[in-house]
Amino acid sequence: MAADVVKVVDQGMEITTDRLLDSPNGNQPQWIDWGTGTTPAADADTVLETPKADEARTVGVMTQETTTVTDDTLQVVGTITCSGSGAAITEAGLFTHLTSTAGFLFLRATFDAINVLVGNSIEFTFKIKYDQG
Amino acid sequence: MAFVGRAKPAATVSARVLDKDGNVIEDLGVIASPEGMALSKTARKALRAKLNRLKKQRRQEEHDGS
Repeated sequence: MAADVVKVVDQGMEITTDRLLDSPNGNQPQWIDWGTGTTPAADADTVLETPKADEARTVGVMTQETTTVTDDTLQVVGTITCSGSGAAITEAGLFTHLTSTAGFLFLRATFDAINVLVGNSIEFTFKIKYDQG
Repeated sequence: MAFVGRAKPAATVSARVLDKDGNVIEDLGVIASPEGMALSKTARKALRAKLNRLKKQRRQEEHDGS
């Protein structure tokens, strides 16, 4: 059983401030990946622990949503379909790039296993709400 | 003088499992939260069962009282 944890990681802070610049250096954190690692998400994570290599990252749909005050929440919704072999999915993350050899990790989550068979999909909804701290 | 602003992000992740035709097999709700407070699948089932028992009990009481 994986610990239920979700973190905007250290690289996520960097992505946040970068994206506020007039000409950001990096891409949007819109690429979703999943895996089978069970070590709880931590601030210093830069990758998923055990990415499931059978499927490529998929692009999510990014929108601004309102949780408490107008547009205080970034939402990313996307679906990954199991195509290689069934697995117990225990981690997911948001990345800035399709490929694992480039880009940064914005957010990593670990959770109780979700068992998927070939043909099954998981639709993930990531919500990142900001407040004044 | 430097001004330091603070913005604190808090993330949650929700999930739905779909079959090959895109039909929802299971809506898992929130699976991960900042405080680690997302309910496990077992806990959700237990709560749902308890809620159903209470609803049934209430309906029975209303029926008996009418």
